[in-house]
Amino acid sequence: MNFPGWQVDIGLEIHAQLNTASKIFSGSATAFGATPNQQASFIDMGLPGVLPVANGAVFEKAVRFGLGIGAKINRVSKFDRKNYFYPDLPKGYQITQMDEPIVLGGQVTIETEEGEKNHSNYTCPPRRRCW
Amino acid sequence: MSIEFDSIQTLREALDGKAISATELTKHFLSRIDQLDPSLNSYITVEHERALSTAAAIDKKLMAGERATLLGIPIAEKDIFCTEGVRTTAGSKMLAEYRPPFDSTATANLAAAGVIRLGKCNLDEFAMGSSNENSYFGAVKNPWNQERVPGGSSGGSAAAVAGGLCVAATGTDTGGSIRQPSAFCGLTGIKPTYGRVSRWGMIAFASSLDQAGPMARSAADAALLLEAMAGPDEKDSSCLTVSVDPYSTLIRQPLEGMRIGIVPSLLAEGLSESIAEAFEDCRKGLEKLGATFVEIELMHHHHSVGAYYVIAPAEASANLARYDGVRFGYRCEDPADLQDLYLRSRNEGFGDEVKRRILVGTFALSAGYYDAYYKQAQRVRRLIQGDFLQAFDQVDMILTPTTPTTAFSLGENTEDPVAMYLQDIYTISANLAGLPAISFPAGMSLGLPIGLQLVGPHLKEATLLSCVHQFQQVTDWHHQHPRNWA
Repeated sequence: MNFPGWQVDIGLEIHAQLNTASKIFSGSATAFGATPNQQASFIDMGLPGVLPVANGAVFEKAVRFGLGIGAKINRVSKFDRKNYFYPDLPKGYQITQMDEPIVLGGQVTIETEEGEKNHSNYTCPPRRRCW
Repeated sequence: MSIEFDSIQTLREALDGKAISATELTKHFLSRIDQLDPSLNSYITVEHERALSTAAAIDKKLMAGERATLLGIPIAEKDIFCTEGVRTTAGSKMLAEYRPPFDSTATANLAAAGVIRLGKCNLDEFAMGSSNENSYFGAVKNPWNQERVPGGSSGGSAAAVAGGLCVAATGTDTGGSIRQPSAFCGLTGIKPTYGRVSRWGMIAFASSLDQAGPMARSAADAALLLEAMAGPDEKDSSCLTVSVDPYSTLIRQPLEGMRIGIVPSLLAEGLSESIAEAFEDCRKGLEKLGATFVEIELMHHHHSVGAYYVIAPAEASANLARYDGVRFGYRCEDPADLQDLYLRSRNEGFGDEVKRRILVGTFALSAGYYDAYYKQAQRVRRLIQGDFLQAFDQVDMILTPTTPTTAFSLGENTEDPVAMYLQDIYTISANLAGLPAISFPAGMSLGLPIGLQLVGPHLKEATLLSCVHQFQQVTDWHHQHPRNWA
């Protein structure tokens, strides 16, 4: 197909998992291939009365990642609740980062068939889906 | 035996001196509950067997010479604190049969201090209410006058303590839920600084405002309970890490030289005459004890109720989203599909006031309205907090009424949510600012207790408790009990 005067511009939403030993808001392990339900805690299940506690290793690894891609490291960072109902969303909201993520922006260099090319414009913050 | 209104100190001496055993004390309260609570409805769950087996174990410890301030003291817990294996309802049909797999930190701390839990107390559903009429388990009656409400949301806790159905009780306070029922039932109840008591295992209503505290018959008893409940907890990131002051020792501090603020605009309109008189009497009493009074102004205080009724429902709407019928709690019969499961489980499982607040909160947080309502309310909250912090440059604490009236009649405000919300006009600002505040009995009007409130700077619980303790050394309002209610 040919659309004269139009140029294709493709954005990619990349999800990367930080390789921490435990989950971001509970002490549950994240080992791949473990027996089902053995890495779930009361916090993960969203039982009444539970509270999330942030995993310090997440911040360190996120900042390392940010430094690696030349991102802005926010001195103040906050989490937001994104509310919606879904059967695999135990609390009825995601804990995400809307406007003050740990790191923002940055760039990665990728190699194309024509040689090296810089793709720099990260407009969206890296987001975490927390379950 | 007439020990149901004794202080913790008196019971402590009786237990340590073997004048009574923990088992005898527990049986005494359990039989009073069995006999008298059908008319009050202050308990949702009475834990006969568990309480007696705890008491038996404690008697062994007492016999072996073990001593601790709360060892063997029978208390009750608001049914919003998770208790392992014992149903925890939050006053809702949604959790009517829910049994948590863990204890709340406050519960665990009290158990470690040696209390005997008699049962779980009635409350407004998910702690939303000022009269305890919003409970799935029925309204609670005020032991001083059974045609009156005990206040809310910790109404069951208040009625149980006032009626001599436990020595003291736990409560939670998001906008006044410890202090207003304490005022209506003639108790001393303290909402500590936000973060002083861990929120782990306390079923959330509005996370940035919720705070647990004790409801007791005196500042001395409340100090002992708070000492046990409070403290750092790594399971709650907003729990304060500073160590807990020895409240039960510090209450002996004299009042001499203390400066107490008075806010004339809070005494101007809407306050019942009898409470205004009690306020004046209290002021004179505190002056005699060496306190001086300073007039101050809290510029933005009149916006408290408005800001609160945006922020609290907004947080509640998110906190209550987990009750969807999927994993635990109430589920509707024969759902046709996922949408139907959500809609009917929530529609059938929640009561009217909870639904009203979820709707208000969802609206306030929705795209396009967030800036106008939630963000704006948070700005107002900051101004209200700023007013207090400025005032505390001049004064050590602030004296206000706890409520505009004494306990109102059952049904009086149920058709008018705004009239009900205005019940909390004096109490809400302390939650918005995260400040400690205490309600204490300071008079009687037509057979009903009057409560006044002291608000202090962050972490100055000891100042508030000692002021009330000194007042209670020269007054006997806290020694009056509804003896003829049964």
